[in-house]
Amino acid sequence: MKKFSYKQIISFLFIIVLAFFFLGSLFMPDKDFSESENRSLQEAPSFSLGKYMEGRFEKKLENYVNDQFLLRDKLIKVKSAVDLMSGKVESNGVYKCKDNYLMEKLNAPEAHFKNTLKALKFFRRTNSDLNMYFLLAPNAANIYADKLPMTVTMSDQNKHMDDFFNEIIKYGYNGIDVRDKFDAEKNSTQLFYRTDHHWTSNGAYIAYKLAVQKMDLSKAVEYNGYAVKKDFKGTLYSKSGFVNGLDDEIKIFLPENSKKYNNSVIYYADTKKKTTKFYELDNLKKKDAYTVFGGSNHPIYTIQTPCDSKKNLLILKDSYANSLIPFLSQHYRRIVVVDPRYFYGDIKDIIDSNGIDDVLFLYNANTFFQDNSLEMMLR
Amino acid sequence: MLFSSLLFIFLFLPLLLLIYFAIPKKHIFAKNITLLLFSLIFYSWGEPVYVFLMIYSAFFNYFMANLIGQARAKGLSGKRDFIFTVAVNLMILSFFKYFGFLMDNINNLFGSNIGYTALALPIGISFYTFQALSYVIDIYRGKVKPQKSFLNFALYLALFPQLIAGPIVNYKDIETQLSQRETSLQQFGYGCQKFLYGLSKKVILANNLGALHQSVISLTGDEASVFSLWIGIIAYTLQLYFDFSGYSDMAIGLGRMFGFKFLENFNYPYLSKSVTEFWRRWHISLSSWFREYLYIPLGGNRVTVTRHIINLLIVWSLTGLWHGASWNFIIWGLYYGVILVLEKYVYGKYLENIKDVMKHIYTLLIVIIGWVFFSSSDLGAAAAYLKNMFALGSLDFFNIKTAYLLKTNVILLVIGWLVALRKPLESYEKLSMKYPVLGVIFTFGIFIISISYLVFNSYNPFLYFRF
Repeated sequence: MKKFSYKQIISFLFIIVLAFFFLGSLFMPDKDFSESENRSLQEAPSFSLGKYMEGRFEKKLENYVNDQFLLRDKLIKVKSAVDLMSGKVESNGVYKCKDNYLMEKLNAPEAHFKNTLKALKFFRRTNSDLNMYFLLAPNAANIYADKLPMTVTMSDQNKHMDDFFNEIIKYGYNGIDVRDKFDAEKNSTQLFYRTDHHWTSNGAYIAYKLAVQKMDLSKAVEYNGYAVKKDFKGTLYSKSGFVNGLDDEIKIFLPENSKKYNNSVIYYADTKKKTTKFYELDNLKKKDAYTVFGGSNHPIYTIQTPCDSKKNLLILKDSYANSLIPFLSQHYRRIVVVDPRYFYGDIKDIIDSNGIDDVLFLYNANTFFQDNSLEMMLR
Repeated sequence: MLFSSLLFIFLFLPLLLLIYFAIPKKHIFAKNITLLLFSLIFYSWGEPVYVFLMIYSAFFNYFMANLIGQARAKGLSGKRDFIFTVAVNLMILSFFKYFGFLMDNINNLFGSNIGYTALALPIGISFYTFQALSYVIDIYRGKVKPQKSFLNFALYLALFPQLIAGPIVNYKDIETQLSQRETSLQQFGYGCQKFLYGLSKKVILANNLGALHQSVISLTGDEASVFSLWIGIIAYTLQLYFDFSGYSDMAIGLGRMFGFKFLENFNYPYLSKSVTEFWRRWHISLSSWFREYLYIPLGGNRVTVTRHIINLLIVWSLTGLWHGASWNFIIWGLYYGVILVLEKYVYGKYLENIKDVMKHIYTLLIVIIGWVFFSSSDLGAAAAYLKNMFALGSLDFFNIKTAYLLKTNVILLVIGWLVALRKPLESYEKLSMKYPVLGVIFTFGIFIISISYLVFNSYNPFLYFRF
């Protein structure tokens, strides 16, 4: 057998790798959706000279080659593994922390945040007959700061939250600050997902119990948690590409005593769907399994419950609220839930036509400090 | 198009290789046509308009060089045509590259407010203009004969490996290769190896070092520290070397696959023991272009001391200006001009007597300070960076951010440092000759890692994250 020189062997190696990915990407059927990235992938572009001269064809072909690349998801993992080996702990703003936690960088309030404060002040003043509550939830990297990799420093969320609560209490809001409760329970209970930026149902349940006290509601209903998914990989897993050894568990909480529990009717205005179920168990099979809590984004929906209370509640919220809202159903006859990021109607009309008594703002600090949808809506 | 993209490596290159090597050896004309067509696609990718400028430049220089060549054959000098050709080339370059800069300076100087639309810089114009000039000047000096085939000349100018970021290939160096060149599996393997080294330098080292430099640059006033600034500029020092020499390696490797032998463009510049030596090892094709086509025609060093100093300063301020249209680059070039003059006439002889370590430290310090100008957005930013680097500001020496940067990048910096030295690479080369399996595994490894980084660049998770 002829013996090949080293350079010749390298030639073969190069050609084989080129051919493998060239032919592989050519013959593998195109995918139109990426589960791990949760987005549509570029499909083969059609050629025209016009598109070429404008550079549109080139951009699309480039995206096409990237998106449909053979073993794409595997190669992402190779990259993350190399990064971790070289001592990196951060990827796309997500840190790899102790005990298999992935945590997101904490954000300081941005410059436009003062507009949100102004809007909150204005809203309080123009609706002086309503009770207003603000539950601002901390984030994992705040509560579990001890799990952050050594030397990682972040924006001081506690200070920003303190400032915020002090400010809105001056306006006449009632602050609901779960940090003390969370700190007390953080070692015995998993309050945040390891791979997702949301709090767990346990976290939401603790927040609910505190809200009952602060909002002066009837006695909190007791619930028990049941795991419905044990291999949940959340947003932070996707965002970072970090390979994490541990999957998360999603729990849903069901009432201890179902005889005393009043079932609700939920009406989603955008899809015109009526249901009695808070949990969309079908969504557990999807990539974004957190949508088990009330489905995807709804601009506005209504929950009616034949309970003893005569009061109506308006909730203005982000996605942290989704896992907490079911608990509140037993304390209000009617709850109107509005997500200001998708709702473009008039909030005054909602308040008047639903006979709202209480308003609850429910956000997580990290999203809220960067949000600008409230200022639009409350003005 | 960029070499460091999946599109280039796994679509453009395989197609070109398939067609190129399917054409039998004797049809060099067909091979050259293929290369030229692919080069034009490569150049026009994403921004096709300027390909016409390059084609125009090819036509213009081809015909003018022929005119000059004919004049010389008749015993005339061809001087007028020559001056005209050089002037047109420089005017095109200046119009696209320096017009905006010039207008800004005029407006600043006279407080005027003349509106203008600065055009986008055509990619690679600085490189191919210099290549065309090398051809025209050598024709005029009678060093080479005019190329008869327009195809071959266009191929010389537009050849995709060196087209957009060098090395600057002088016409006389590849004149014969345009019409006859050898390819073999051995040569091809050399080209692959070189390309993969270059790719890894760019994708694995330069990009990560660049990210590190960026994170240092974006530290706020109370997060920064003296030590962090040093980490930042050292990262930049390595990044620039790996970025540029990686690109040159890829170009040289690709050229070799098709039988072209380009000269090396970098020779371990950070091992230099003097700044003079540094410029013999850094971007060799540019400094030798300036030496051959500007410095020597100006009289080189065979003139009076004063004239020599002036020559050096002219050459170096133009070298600076070549790198970009801003005062930073001019200052950066002049800075080197001054230091080279000092080395030549003031302290060069003392430098020879100190220990090697001190020579290295001296050279690196000068080079690193130079990169501060090179990397900063304007002179003010450069001055501020230098001030803080040398602890003349109010920054702490070391803080928690420094610890973080160090902890997460120390391996990268050490590997970068090792690759910038000659010995580790040479011993690896020796080892892989002795144990090919080791070399193959390593080469395959860095290839896959490079691909994974390229894939990650396009990793763009759309998250239900804001919901």
